Amino acid sequence: MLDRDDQQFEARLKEFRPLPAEPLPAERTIRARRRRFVLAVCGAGSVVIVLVAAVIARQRANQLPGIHRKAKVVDVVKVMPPAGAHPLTIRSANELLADAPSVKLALDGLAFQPRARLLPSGTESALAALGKEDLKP
Amino acid sequence: MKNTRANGATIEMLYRRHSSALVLFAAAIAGDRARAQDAVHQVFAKLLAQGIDHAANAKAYLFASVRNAILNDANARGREVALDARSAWFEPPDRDYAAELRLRQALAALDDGQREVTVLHIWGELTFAEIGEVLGVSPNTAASRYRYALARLRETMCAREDCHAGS
Repeated sequence: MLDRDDQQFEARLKEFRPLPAEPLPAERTIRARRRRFVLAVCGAGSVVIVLVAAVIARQRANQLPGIHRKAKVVDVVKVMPPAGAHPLTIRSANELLADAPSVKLALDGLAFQPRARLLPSGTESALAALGKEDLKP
Repeated sequence: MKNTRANGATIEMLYRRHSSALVLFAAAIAGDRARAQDAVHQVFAKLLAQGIDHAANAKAYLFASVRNAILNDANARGREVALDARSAWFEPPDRDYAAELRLRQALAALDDGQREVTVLHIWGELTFAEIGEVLGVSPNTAASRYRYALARLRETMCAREDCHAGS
């Protein structure tokens, strides 16, 4: 039997804990496998997230009006109203902007102003007639 | 297949529970922690292949196997081993690394039999009967070696550190 002092000293020695051992090689392999699996899952997850984000971004881009869409090659003549059909008004400009596949094409359409209607031969406008008059005070 | 898995799980559980004390015990014999770690891994690799069902007392069997592995290795190398003072064996209380070094030096000053008994009883938590089984001595011899070892450790350590009154 140990006396009290020996028991106290024994308790003091037990306070020193043996350093932990290295993991078993088999455990190490399992841990490495688990780590690799987790990394692979994370990698695959990131790829899926990027792909989903790309698909969503593409769908949104398709839903937005013309400026985000690839400008289709459209004949300006088809877009613009036939020359002389209507005068350019705010309403017609709005309609043109709404219907045109791109802003550029709409602006091109606006640039083509309908020409002034030609008067039948032998007639002249009132403005021209007034310009010829010799007004004397 | 199921038995192999159960056996593997048992051995892993034994490793988690006893590996630190087994490595300490092996280091106390071999003097070198790296060799001690190798010997413990070697024993467990064998157990994973063969199982441990045949051992009546698994804990005592593990310590005896590690001791045999270290002694076989020492015989194979054909030289005496000295305790390596550079690598730590313990996590000291209150991070008192000077006390850790003093303890290692005090353990190194013991003769082999006393050092083995001390490590097995204090940190391996083996009874004197189990220690007798591991070392091939009687429980009384083990207990006697332990008492001498404890007295010498106290003497060495208390000569260098401020021991509590009465200890």
